[in-house]
Amino acid sequence: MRRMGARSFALALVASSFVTACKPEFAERASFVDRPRVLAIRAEPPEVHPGDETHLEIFVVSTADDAKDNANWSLCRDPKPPTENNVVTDACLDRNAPSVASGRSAKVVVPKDACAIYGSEIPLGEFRPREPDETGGYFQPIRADVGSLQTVWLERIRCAPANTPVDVAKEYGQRYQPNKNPVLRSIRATVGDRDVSFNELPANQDIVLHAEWTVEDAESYAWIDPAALRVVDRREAMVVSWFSNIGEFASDRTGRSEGDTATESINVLRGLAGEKTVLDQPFLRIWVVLRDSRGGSDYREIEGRVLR
Amino acid sequence: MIRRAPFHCLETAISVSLALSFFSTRLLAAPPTATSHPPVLIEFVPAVYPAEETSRGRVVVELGLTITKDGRVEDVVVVTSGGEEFDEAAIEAARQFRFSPAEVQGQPVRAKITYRYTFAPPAASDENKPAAFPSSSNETAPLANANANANAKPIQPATEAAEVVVRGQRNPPEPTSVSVSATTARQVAGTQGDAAKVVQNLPGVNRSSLSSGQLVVWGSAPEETRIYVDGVPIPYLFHGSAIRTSILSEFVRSVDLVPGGYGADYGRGLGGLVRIETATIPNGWHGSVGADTLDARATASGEISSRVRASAGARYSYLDEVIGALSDTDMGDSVSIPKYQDYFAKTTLGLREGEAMSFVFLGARDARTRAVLSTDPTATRSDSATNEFYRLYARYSKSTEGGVAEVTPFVGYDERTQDLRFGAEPANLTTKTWNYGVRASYATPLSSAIQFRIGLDSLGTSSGVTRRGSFNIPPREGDISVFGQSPGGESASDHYRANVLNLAPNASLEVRLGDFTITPGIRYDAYVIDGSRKISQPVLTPPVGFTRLETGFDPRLHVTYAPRPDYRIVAAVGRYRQGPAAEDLGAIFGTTDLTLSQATHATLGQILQISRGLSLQVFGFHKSLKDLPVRSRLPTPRLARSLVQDGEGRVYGFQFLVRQEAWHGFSGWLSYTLSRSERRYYGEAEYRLFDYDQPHVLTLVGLQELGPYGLSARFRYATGMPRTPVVGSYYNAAGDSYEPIFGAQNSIRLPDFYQFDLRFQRRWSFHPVRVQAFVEVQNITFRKNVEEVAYNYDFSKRGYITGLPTLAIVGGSVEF
Repeated sequence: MRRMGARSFALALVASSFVTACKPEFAERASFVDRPRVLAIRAEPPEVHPGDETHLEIFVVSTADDAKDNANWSLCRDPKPPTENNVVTDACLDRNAPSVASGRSAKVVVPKDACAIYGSEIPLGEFRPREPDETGGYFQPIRADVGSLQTVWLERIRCAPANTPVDVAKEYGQRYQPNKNPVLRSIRATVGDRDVSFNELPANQDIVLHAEWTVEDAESYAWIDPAALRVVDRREAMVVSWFSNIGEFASDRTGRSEGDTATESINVLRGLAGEKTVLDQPFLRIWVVLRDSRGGSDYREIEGRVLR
Repeated sequence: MIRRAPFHCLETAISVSLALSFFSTRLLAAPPTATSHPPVLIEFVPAVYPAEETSRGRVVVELGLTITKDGRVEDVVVVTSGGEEFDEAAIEAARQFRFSPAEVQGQPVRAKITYRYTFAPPAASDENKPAAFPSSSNETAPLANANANANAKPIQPATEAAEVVVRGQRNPPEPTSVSVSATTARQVAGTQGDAAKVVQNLPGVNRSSLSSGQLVVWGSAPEETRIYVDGVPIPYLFHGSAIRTSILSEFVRSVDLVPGGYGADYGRGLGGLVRIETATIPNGWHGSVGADTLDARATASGEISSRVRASAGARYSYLDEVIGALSDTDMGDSVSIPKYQDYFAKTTLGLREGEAMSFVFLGARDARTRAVLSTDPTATRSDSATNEFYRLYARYSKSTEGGVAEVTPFVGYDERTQDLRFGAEPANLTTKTWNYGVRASYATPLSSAIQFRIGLDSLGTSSGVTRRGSFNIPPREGDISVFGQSPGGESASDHYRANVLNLAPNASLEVRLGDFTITPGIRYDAYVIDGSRKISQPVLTPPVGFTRLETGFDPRLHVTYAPRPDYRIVAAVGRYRQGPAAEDLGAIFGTTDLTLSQATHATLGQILQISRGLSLQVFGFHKSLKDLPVRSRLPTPRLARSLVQDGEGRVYGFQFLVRQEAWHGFSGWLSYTLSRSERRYYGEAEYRLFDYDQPHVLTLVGLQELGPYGLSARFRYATGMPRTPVVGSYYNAAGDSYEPIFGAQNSIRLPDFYQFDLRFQRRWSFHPVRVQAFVEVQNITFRKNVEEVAYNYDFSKRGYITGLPTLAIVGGSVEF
C-alpha cells in the first residue's frame, strides 16, 4: 500500500508537467438525445454523377411528428476558400438560399457543374482544381433545414481524377465502383452472454449492443495514392453512431477501421435505472446510424422497455 | 544566517591583478602613441571569495570589460572561467568599477580590456596584503603611465604583467538588447536550471502557450524571430513541449535578446533576435554530472595542451522511461512525453597573439508521440513529431593594429517531421534541410571618432519537403478554427526541393559626435530562390522548376545621446526582410512565387543608470509589416498560389525594464510590455488582432544568494491571447459532427494568466568537488491558468483547458 502511494506520487510528480492540459468535462454527450436532433441523412444512391438525381431522406428525432416533414432542401453553390476549415463555406449557410425541395425526403439533382465547383475540373483561367478528400471523393454540399436545425449533407460526386497520368486515370476509371449504402443488418442486445429482448432490458445491468453488417457493406474501392500516383485498393471504414433517450453509452461512436474486417461493432448502454429520460417518452429509444467512409449510411430506430 | 567571506583587498589580500591583453592591441583612433592612454581603474569594488569554495585555493578569472568613454563598465564577459561562483563574484565586482576612460589624442574613447581577477582564500590572504589593491575605492591605480602598445605593467601592486590595449571592437550591443549571464539565468525560477530559457522572462517577449515554446517578440510571429548560437543560426530554441532548450546550460555564457531595431549585421527575420554565446573553456580539467526529474547530463573540459582546450557534454532525457516504469498503463499513449538529446563539443586553439580559433559542434534531437485511442476509428488521434538539428562551425578572430576580423563558417543539417492523423486522415510534413553559410566581419577605426565595420551574413539552405494531407494542418496565423477541430476535407500530396541562398553584405559606421553616437548601417539582401516545381500539375505539364533573384537594400540607424554618464537616450530604425520558408514554396500547399516579406522597426527609449547595478530602460516601439504570406481568400485559388503575400501588420507599444544586477547577492528585474499587434489583408478597412497578441506582459524575477543558499522567485502576468468565438453550429450529417459558426475573428480573449514560481538551491564544497541541489516549485498558488478554449460536441457550451498544476522539480549536480 505504502509502495503504491509513493509510486503514485512519483508518477504524478513526473507526469504532471507533461499532461499538457486539463480538458473540461462537459455533461452533454452527443449520444444522449434530449432535444430535437438531426441524426443522419441517407442518400440513395450515395454517389452520383453531376446532373444525376439522388433521393435524400433526413432522420430527425423530435417530439413533434410534423417536424420530421419540415425539412427544406437547398444546394450550396459556393466553393470553400482555403481560409475556412469547416466542411462548407460560410456562404453555404445563407438562410436565403433558394429551396430545391421540401419534406422529410426529397429528390435533388446534383448540378452539372458540380465537378467544376467542388471537384477536379479546372475552372477557366489558371485556377487550381479541388483536391479530393482522403478517400478520393469530391462532394456537393446540400443543406437541409428543419426548423432551426441547420444540417449539411455532402453528396459524393463522380469527377475525373485530377493531376493524374492517363494510364492511372484509365485504370482508376475501370476499377472504381461507386459507393453503395451499407445496411444495418441487425441490432442485438446482450447481457452477459445471453441475448435479451429490447422489450425486457434490465435496468441495473450493462446492456451490450451489437450493430452488425456484412462483409460486402464495407466495400473495397479503388483509390489513387497521391504520392505514388498509382491505383491501390482500399476498404471502407465503418462507423456506428449511437443515440438514446435514456441511459449513457460507453462511447458515442464505435466502428471498424479500414484494416479491421470484423462486421460488428459493440457498445455498452448503462444507467437505464436512472432518471435520465427525456422527450417525455415512457420508452427507451435507441437510434443507430451506420456510416461508411465514402459517405454511405443507414440507420435504425429501436424502441425498448426497461424492466425496473 | 548569511555565511559570506567578505573580501577586502588590503585586509584579506586576495591578490588582484590586472592583465590587459584581451583581444588586441590598438587604440581606436590611430596607432598607439604617447598621447594614447589606456583606461585607469579609479574606483575598485572588492569581490567576495565564495564561502563554500575556500578549499579551492587560488583561483583566476579573466574578464573582458567594455569601458565606455565616461569610464563606466558597460559589459563584462568571462574570458577564462574560474568556476561558476568565482565568475559570478568577479562579474559582480567588476560591474561596479569606475575607470578614467581610455584616451586617444586627448579624446576619451571606448575600450575593451582584459581584467584578471585572482582570488586567494581568506586564510592565505594576509600574506598578500601589501601587494593588493588600494583598500580605498577612491584611490587610483597608477595606470596612467602605461604604454598603450607595449608590455606595460600598469598596476603597481599587481603581481602579473599587464598589457593595456584599446582597439577596434566588435559590434556594440544594440540599444534594445538585454543580456543575461548564464550564471544568473540558470538560477531563475521557472527555468529549471536551463539558462537559455530565461529569454521567456525578458521584456518584449509574450508568454507563449503551454508546451508551445513559441517566441513571440514585439508582436511578431514565432517564425519571424531568429535564434543564433555564436552567430550561427539554429532552427529552434526549445525542444518539443518546451520543457528544455536545445543548448546545454553548462556551455552557455550569456543569453541576449534583441526584440527589434538591430543593426545591419543581422537580418533574415522580421521579429527579434535571440543570441546565445557559448562559454569559454575554463583553466584546468573539470567535469560535471547532473540529473533532475527531466533528464541527466554530463560535461567535461580540459587543457589538452598549452594551446588546446576542449569541452564536451551531452544531455539525455529519460522521463518517458521513468513514467513507463512507474505506470501500469501506457501513459505515453495519451500524454505527450518528449524524448530529447543534446550534444555539444568545443575546441579552442591558441594561435598567435591576437588570434583565436575555435571549433564547435552542437546537436539536438527530440521526439514525441501522442495518441488518443478510441473505439471510433474517426476519433482516433495520433501526433508524432521529431525535430533535430546539427551544426558544425569554426570561429576565427584576429585582432591587429588595423582592426578586428571575425569569420565563422558553418554547415548544418535540420530535420523536422510531423505526422498527424485524424482518424484515417493524415497530415504529414517532413522537411530535411542542409544549411551552410558564413558570417564574417571586420571592424577598424577610421579616426578618433569613427569606427567602420563591414561584414557578410550568408545562409544557404537546401530543403527537401514532403507533405501530405489536409491543407489546414499545420495551421497558419490567421486561420480560424477551434481547438481539436478536424481538418477540412481536401487532402493532397506534394514533394519538392527548395533552395534558398541569402547573401547579405553589410556595413556600418559608428560616429561619435560629442554626446552623440550615430551608427548608420546598410544591408544588401540578395536571395536566390530555387525550386524543383513551378506549378502544381507535374503530370500534365513538364516538371519545370524555377529560379529567381530577390534583392533589397535595408538601411539601419542607431542614435545614442548620452548627456550624462548615467543616462542615455537611444533610438533605432531599420528595415528588415525575410525570405519565404521552404514549406511555403510548394506548388500545392504553398506558392512558388513568394518573395520577401518586409518590416520596418522604429524604437525610441532611454536608459538610466540609477545606481550601481540598478538601471531603468524604457522603450517605445513601432513595427510595420508588409507582404506577409497568408492563405488565399479566393474560393478557388489560382494554380500554385494557395498562399498570397497580401498580409500586412502593425505592432506598437512600450516596455520598461528595471534591473538590479548583483547587489549584496541580490539580482533581478521587473519587466513590463504594453503592446498591440494587428494584422489584415491588403485592402481591408480594419485590422484584426494578431493571434498571439498580448497587451500586457509583466515579469518579476528575483534572485537572492545567501552564502551557499540561493532563492529565486518569479511572477508572471500576461493577458490572454485572442480567440475567435463560436456563435453557433450546424450539423454535418455526412461525418456525424457539428461544425462551428464563428463570430468576429479574434474578438474574445482567453482569461489572463498569472503564475508564481519558486526555486531553492544549496551548494556544498568538498574540494575539489562541488555539489549542488535544487528544488523548484512552479505555480505555487495552484492557479488554474487557461491555455485554450474547448467546446462541447455541438458547440453549445464553452469551457477552458487549463495548464500545469503545481509542480515540483528536483535535481542536483556534482562538479569538479
